[in-house]
Amino acid sequence: MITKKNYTSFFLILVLILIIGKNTDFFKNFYNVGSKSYDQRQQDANNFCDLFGTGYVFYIKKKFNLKKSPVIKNSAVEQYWIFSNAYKILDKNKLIILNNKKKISNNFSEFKVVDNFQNRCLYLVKND
Amino acid sequence: MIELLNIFAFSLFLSLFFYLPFFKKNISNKNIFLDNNDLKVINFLILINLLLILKLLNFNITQITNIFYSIFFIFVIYFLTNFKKFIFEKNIYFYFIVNLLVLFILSIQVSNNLTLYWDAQKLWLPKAILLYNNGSISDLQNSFYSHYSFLGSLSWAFFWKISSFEYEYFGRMFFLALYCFGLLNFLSLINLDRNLKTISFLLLVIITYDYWHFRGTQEILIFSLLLILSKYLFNLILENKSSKFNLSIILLLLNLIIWTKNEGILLSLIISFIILIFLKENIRFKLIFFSLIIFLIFFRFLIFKLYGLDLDLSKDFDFLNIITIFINNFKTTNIFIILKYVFYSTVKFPHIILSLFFALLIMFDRKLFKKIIFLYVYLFLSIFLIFFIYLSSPQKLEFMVSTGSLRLLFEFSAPYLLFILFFFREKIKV
Repeated sequence: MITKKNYTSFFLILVLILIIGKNTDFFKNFYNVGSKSYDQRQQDANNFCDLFGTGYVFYIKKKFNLKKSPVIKNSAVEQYWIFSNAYKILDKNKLIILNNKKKISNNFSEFKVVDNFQNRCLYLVKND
Repeated sequence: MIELLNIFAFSLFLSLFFYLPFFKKNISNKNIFLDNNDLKVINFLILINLLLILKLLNFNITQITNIFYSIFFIFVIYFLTNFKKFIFEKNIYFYFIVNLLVLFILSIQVSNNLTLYWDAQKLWLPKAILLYNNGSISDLQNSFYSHYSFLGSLSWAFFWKISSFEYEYFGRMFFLALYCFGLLNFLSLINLDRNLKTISFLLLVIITYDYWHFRGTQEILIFSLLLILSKYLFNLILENKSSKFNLSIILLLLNLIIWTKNEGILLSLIISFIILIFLKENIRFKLIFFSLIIFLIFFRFLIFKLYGLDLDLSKDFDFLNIITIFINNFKTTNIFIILKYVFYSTVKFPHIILSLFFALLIMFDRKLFKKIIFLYVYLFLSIFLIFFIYLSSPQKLEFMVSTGSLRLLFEFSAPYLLFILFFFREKIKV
């Protein structure tokens, strides 16, 4: 039998679940997961071209539909986890330079810049 | 939209994983009484310890997943054919739905806010990816900090693989499921009706949950395992309930803690010390228990040696000169720095403040204080361990404390919640 006490408890349970939903931004998160791709959400969640440059790597992965990881230089942590299905299988013809502070040196003369974000994060591909 | 359905489906799977009764009926006799929560804990402990054993036997994740699916498939057939013979917990559907709902809400946050902590990006996820791609334990030699225990990464990889979805956060959803299960199981220590228990569970989620804990670091696993362990420690020491059963559960949990993080080894020694002091059993019995703990620790190092992993407990310590370093660091200024950060850490977590408040209240009641003194010993030893860890480090102290004390205090804090629970149990007789 549903009593008045039960109604109060159910109401309280509902309120507490709503509070959890509010604390965790449930509806916003729900909308984002439904409308944005995983790679886009990764870009939003991580620094784009600062610190680890994770967002930039996700951006390049999505933009050029990369399956294997390019060689990634200058990140504070290894970023190969982003290509988890081909972990540490590197495509040496492609290169991502993060936190770039100087002009692209002659070491990379055989590469051409395909994507350049404010001269700080670059994606390069070996010349044919 | 498909991803949302996948998240819901995996939340459902994880809830089933924790809530399906793998046993036909309650195994209870004069000496042992198992409630429904105990059965779920046994399910979980058997499966995760089995996962660890299979990995130690060098099975790869795909093979382990196939074994798991086979067991699950056999069980589902057995379950459906024997459905009527199963004894279900009275409110199992209700708890199942509440758990599913909370797990889904939290999973949605994890799936959108995908930020991983530095440690997770550098250490734990690369290990998980390596294992996910069928790497062996010896392959972990090439990962950063190969001396770290790896059960967290192993379970991350395993549940990620089991989900059949390509995104790593499906592995982390297991961390959420374990956390929710730990909280609900903890509440089985008090005798509440269904609605009050659910309200208490939701309140506990509100005061303890933060995405911060689910950024891929392993502290939440230690917290959840310690939370489950707290119940059995409480039953063992305070209730004097079946020593052998409670100790077996504690041993299995300590094994998981030892394999999850290196400080788990120190934590297991603290728990063992408390059991040795407060357990009302003869010396021989206690010695056997302690020998088993030492064996588990020894076994962990043996396996590491066997697979060529680094045997160091930590690279931040010089173990040969640890006492000298400790004595040199034992200065008022250093103690003050650690104290400052321990205070900050305490303030950051509402459940720790609340627990300490109730610990203070209990201290005014001599009878209650005497009953639960083992918990004060744990509180003292866990705080002392934090001081000891930082004072023994040759590294720059303030940097070490500022980056690590929050996480250390959080992972040790699960048993502190017993102060709150004990207070209500004794004062309000719930």
